Amino acid sequence: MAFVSNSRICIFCENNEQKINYKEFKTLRKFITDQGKIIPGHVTGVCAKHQRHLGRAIKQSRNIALLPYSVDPRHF
Amino acid sequence: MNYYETLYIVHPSLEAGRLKDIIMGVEESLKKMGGSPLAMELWGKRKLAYFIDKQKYGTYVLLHYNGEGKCTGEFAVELEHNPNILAYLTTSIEKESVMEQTEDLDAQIAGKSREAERRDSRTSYTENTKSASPEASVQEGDTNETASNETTSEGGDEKSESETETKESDNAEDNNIEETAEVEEVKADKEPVEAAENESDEEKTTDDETTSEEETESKQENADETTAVSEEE
Repeated sequence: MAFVSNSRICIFCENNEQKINYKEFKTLRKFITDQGKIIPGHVTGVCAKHQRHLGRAIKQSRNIALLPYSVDPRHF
Repeated sequence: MNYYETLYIVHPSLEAGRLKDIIMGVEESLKKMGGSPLAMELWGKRKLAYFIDKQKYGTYVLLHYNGEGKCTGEFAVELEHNPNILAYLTTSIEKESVMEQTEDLDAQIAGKSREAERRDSRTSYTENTKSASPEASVQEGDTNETASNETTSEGGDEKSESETETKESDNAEDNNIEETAEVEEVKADKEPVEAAENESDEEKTTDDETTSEEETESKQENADETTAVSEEE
């Protein structure tokens, strides 16, 4: 499910222990929509640096079939 | 010397012995390319996010190794030409994030096959309970809710997930029954109201008839008056 935050503080800057990795697909799933699109940083409150890392990790996860490239909206 | 990790997906039809042969073959080819495997982790059979080579499932294997930079390219060519490997991803990692090998390959394969069997038994249990629950709930109605919850709560800890599913399904069915009962009550309430409305409509129609008769009479009187006036003239 998509993760939308009202706070302006990046959750990855707040919590240093939470690493962005393509294997953590359950965490990454919060930053994509139901259709599989990457949610922009200004919606989730993630800073530019961590949004770059997120985008890279999500694309790596898609490559190895842990996350979908796209989901047909008629299927949910 | 750099550290790398490769996550690759093995064909789902390969089980136990043949899976071990494939994994050992991959490690041997890595050694030929000049890399040295450090750790291996078997994730087990997982559902893929999309179909690869018409396959819905795949067995994920994570391999950590170190070697010179050129060994990854040659290893990638080797994986590409292996028909049993659906997909692979190689990334460079830090030395600190290299995992320790806790279990050997045989123990991991045995553990994953045991987990898969347990999962299959769970799914068969939920299918049985789901097929049995709707008939019982229809026959006994609301009184079945407490009884079904008691019977499901008596199971072991391993079947907790399936219990929650069955509980949810039971609750949903009970809610449906309650809703249908409410709808019937509402219909029963509506019927006398509709009957009363019909009666009032009939009264209205009779009133309309009487008023129309009066109007015709008054028109005739007016007509008589006009004829009388014209005769006087």
